[in-house]
Amino acid sequence: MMKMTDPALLRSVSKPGRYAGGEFGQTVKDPASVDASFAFCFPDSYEIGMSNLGVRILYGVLNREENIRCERVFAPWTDMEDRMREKGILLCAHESGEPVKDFDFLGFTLQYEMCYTNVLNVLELSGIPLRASERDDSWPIVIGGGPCSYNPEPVADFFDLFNIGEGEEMLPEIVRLYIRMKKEGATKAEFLHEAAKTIEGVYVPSLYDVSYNPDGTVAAYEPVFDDIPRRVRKRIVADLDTMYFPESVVVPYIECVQDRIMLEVFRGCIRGCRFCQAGMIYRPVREKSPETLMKQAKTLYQNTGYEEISLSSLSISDYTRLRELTDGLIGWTEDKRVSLSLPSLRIDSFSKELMDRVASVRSSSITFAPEAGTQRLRDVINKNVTEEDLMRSAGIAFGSGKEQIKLYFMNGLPTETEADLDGIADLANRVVDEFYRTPGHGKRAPLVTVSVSCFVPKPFTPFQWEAQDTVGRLIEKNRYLAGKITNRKVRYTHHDACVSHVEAVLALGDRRLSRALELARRRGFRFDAWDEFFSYDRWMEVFADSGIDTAFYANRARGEDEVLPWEIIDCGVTREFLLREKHRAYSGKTTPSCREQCSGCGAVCLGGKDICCPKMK
Amino acid sequence: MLPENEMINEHDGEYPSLPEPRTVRLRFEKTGSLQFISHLDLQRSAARILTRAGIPLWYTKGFNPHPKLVFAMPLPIGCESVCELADVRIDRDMDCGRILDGLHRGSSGGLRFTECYIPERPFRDIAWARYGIRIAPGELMSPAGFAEKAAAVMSEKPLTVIKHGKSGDRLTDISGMMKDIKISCEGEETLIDLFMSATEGSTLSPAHLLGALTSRLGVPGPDTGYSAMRVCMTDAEGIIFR
Ligand code: SF4
Ligand code: SF4
Repeated sequence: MMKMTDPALLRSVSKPGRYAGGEFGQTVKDPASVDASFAFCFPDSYEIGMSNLGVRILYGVLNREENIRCERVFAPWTDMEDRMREKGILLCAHESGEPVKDFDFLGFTLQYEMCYTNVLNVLELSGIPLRASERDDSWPIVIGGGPCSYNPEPVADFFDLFNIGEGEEMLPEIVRLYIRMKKEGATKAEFLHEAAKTIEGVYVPSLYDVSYNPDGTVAAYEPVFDDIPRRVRKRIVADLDTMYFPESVVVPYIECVQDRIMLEVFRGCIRGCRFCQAGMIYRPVREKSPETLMKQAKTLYQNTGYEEISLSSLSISDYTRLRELTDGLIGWTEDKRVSLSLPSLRIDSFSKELMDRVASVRSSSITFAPEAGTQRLRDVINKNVTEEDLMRSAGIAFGSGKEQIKLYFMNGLPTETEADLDGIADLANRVVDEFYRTPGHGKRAPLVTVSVSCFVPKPFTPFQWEAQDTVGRLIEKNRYLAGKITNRKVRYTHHDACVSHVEAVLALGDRRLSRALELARRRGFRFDAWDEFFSYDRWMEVFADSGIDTAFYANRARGEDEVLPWEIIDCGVTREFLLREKHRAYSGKTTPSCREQCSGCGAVCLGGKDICCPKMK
Repeated sequence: MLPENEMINEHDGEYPSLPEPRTVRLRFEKTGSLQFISHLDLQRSAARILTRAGIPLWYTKGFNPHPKLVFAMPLPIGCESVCELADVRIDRDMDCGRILDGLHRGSSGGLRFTECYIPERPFRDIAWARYGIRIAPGELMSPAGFAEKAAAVMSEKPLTVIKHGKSGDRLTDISGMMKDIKISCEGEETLIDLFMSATEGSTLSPAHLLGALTSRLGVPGPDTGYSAMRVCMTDAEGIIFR
């Protein structure tokens, strides 16, 4: 049978380099020399998947184990998929070209909800039955992880097991247990039970029965065994300095979205913006030391040859030893002609010094995220930045020659009124004014881009109980804002409200959504994270035909005593804290960052070294 | 088990700096799956390969310093080669043997560096490239039948093909751009061994020829197995260029 790497096949598709393999730094192992094989899938294109730091880390973590073989799998692009279906070619792993279905494990990293149809498509293209209940012991064990697994319920029926939290330690533990039990002749069911019982962070959906109330809300989760946890607590890695870090990574030949060294400076975020899931689920903050980071940067540079290093963390300017780190890095990077970039600068900690030192000179544009147009709403969402902060940062940027500023906002936030939308337009105008007020501004006219996304309530945030605005309302708001932005130096772009609606349904859903996802797959859905493939009308048809009322999931305010589907997971942050935060939001009260004062979110119970939480008594 | 390539050591400071940058020529093979990496992607990756190899690259001065790297002739995607050449400038006195050692460690798979030396001739002297093309006509035709028909097509004068260029598609007569054509059969395959023009502005690629054959004979079809290999490059007199 033809394989995915067949030259005749590769000649017939776009960007064949996606499938060619042979990159520097890949790990190729002899199947006969290992006890377990793990196909690690990023369910999107090669260029997106190879840009993910988590994939790079976990690939290394697994391959570091002598008796485990981990290979990469990506979603084939649509032209390749069409050819594969036409010729009956099975999806293969990247390194060996071996069919995915012959691996012991198939792991998916779930980075965004809109990739769920790709997950099912990857299963189908591999010839693997979609539902866990349809797979006997001969099929790979299908594992999920990543941010979306904090509400695994909408895809729970397709997975045998989820690892909740950070995988560096948990994933090898799971595979090691599997190897041991396989040798003892255990069945898959026995293995899953044992994993759920003994490995913290393991969630086996089939071992929990869900019951529903007459109104459609969840009544309860009931474990089917007494010896497994009633709620699955997320795993974290306590010490980032001693944590495994890949000293060499695969260096793709074809251009990827993130094609550089990514240095993870810390995990978590001290801020607690109330809409932000990442700010809650990655708590508590744990930092790496500059010494460790310098060492890792140098090693990675030598082993990959990358000419760019990006410091990657949620809110990089909150790193307590940023000065030390940039001082150390800059001398070295200049000498090596390596460029250093910082993503996601927070307005309140943005300084001229920081920009002069690291912002790449080449880019003429810089991005800030005030998120809301008025101070009132910024207080509601706990985005603790002021207009002065923004103007000061904009002034610094303009003063050092930048002419373009991009501003991120959200619409549809809880308590939002027209005044808040007006505020977005006003703020953009004032940033334009700031340009002309700044001495030494650039010669060309400034351009301020206002980019507005729609608020999607996310699990484990203080806004998890909120109703999302309806699509009609969101579109209305987008139009209203478009009418308000009349300044020719301000450009307005907004996200598709329809995508945000589907995203909300998939983010806030329960197990009953699997019906819809299955139907979507049967109707050929794929690459829904890509605008060119997303069709709102077809999604609505799928939901209707599978008996799913999308408003129930997306546009309904949840009761404060309602059992939420994702509460089978314990992410450290307590429900009491989230509720407290919700109430503070409604009274317009901000909450200090973890560094200023602990707000007792509960995450301290997860432990960790060098965390900012007060020590437990 | 270690990753395929072991850690590479930093050689900095080990080599004395040069008063003037020095150009060295690298010869390399690009075979197997690497044939599907485009020339553009290889160009992008080249600096990384050289950095991994610990080669003391010379950088251009100015606003946006970059290493100086020139390829002899782009290799079309889907074509293999055992005779690729690239010139690179270094600013420290690292000898060619050690450069080659470094490159062995810094490259992988179908990318293999085979020589490093001080160039004596400029790339513009390249006039011809020799290719070996293997086609398995499969059920469509016998290898001998295809050989005969292909020979007839290739002796047409003029032999016009569509060339895709920056300024759109245009019809080009390629009959004068091929020479020393030898066609033979081996098992299930037809072998075409020939020289194609490689002068700047009038470069022929195996894809052009294969396109001409497909449009006239239907072979190679969409599923036909074939391979194309660039074997060597010569100057106008037929002397191997190195
Ligand atoms: S600063 Fe706010 S939005 Fe950014 S990661 Fe932290 S909590 Fe989330
Ligand atoms: S326990 Fe306190 S300091 Fe620690 S993450 Fe929670 S709120 Fe922040």
